[in-house]
Amino acid sequence: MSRLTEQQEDRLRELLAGRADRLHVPEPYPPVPMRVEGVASGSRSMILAIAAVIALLAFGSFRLLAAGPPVPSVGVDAAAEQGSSDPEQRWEGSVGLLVFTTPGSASNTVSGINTKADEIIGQVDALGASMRFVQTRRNITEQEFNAFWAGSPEVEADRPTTWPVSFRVRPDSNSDSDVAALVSELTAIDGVVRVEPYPGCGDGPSLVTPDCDGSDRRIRDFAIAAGAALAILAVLVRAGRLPLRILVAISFVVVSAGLVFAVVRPVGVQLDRAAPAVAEIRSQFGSDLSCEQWYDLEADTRRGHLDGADPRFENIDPGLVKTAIDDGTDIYLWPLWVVPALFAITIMLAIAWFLPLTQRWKVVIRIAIAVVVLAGVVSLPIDFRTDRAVQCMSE
Amino acid sequence: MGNTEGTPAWTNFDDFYRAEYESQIRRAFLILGNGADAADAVSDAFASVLERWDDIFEAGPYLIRCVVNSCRDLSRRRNRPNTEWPLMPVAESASIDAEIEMADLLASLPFRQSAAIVLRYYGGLTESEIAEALGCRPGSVGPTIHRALKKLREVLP
Repeated sequence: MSRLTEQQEDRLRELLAGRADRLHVPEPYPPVPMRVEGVASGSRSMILAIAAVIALLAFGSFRLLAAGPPVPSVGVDAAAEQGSSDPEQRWEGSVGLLVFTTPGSASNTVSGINTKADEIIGQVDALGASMRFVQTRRNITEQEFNAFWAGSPEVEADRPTTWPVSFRVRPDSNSDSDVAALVSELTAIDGVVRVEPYPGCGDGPSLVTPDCDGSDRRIRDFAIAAGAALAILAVLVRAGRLPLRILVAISFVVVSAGLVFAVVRPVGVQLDRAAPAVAEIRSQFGSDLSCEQWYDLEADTRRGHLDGADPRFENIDPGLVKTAIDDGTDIYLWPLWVVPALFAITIMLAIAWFLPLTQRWKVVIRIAIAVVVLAGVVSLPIDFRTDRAVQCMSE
Repeated sequence: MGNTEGTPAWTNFDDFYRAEYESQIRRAFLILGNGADAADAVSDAFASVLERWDDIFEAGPYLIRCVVNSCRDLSRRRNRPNTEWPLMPVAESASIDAEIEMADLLASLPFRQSAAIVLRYYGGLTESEIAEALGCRPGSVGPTIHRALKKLREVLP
């Protein structure tokens, strides 16, 4: 256990005993102590503080995880209309609007949505020069419609009775009153349930959330909740009630979660949207498409040489390939459940730290943490294959 | 040294308190380096034991763990009042200087290391008993003590 000689060990014992014996312990001993109320109230405040932290982190996690499906834009070719390819110029000063249509109406079909979009745009045009579209009008395609619902029977069954249509407008003057007037007019359209402006998307360029699906607001809510939770923990550390390493660990998890969701979540949405296009391409190709063939197809499409350039791809719609490339992603996708799992681990560690658990329960908690981490590690290659399936259709 | 291991099961808390108070306060004094803090930690530990007196199977090991936990809590608290606690007057000697130097080195160690040293070389506890008192795995006690001894070797000729 140590490399001390026997003499050194004896000397250490002697020094410790000598030092301890120098303490004067007066007799009689003080009376048998009892728990004073202050200690109990201190424990209560500690429990309340930890409960508040857990509640705030849970709320923040809920806001992050409560992402709805991407909202299809009425138009996306904004740069063409603006005469600029600079995204910052494209989005600057614009306001995103979400229009929810009547429950159960025909707007839950592709043609119904486009008809309703025409109606909405007619109202915007009626405002004349005071309001203009940032985006160029185009119809929503069947493919986008299916991509929105991911095409799965489960999602189809859960289809809500309202259809959101989003678009961006830029008021020419006095933006607040112009937007308010537009919202009022749109709300008056038959079949429109409500209209929600998206100031988070309209404040400036928003390349991460091109569909204005509210990611900015969710991440902002998460940041506020997490910041408040970390502030409480910092106070506990300052008061000596919490080890600094716990604060550091939780801060790491919280910041990681924010970063992951700010970057990866939109990518995940893109990935889902590309899946129908990939399936359709596979169907048009008529047989399994290898990675090499996909890369050839992608390269030809990017060069604009798909039509007739390679007889293998003559049956494939070039627009479909372009959509798959645009909507797909080659960014490595982390499993989205990793973040809540990290929160769960943190909370379990907090429980293990603060509660007077026996060694046996601590072992149980360690095993639970190991299982969660192991599941995360195992799931990474699974998710990687999913990513590759979209990217090069090797499955 | 007032070891609690190997003692019979206590049936009366007052007897247990009288038998263990002095040894525990000296042990806490070595860990914390301050007599007043040691008294607070030991009082808090005995209060914990008293609360669970009827449920505790072995009071001795449980008390040691409570003392260590109380010492850990106190060592984390900053800005606590530095109350003086009387030490026995002794004549100046080389041994006293070595004791003080060793106490300073002990105070500079991380809590787990200083507690492990005190439990091992003053309390005479085994590695598994130290692990139980510190709430860690028995296998980590040896390396903890080894790291602490590297620094303490300065005062051990």
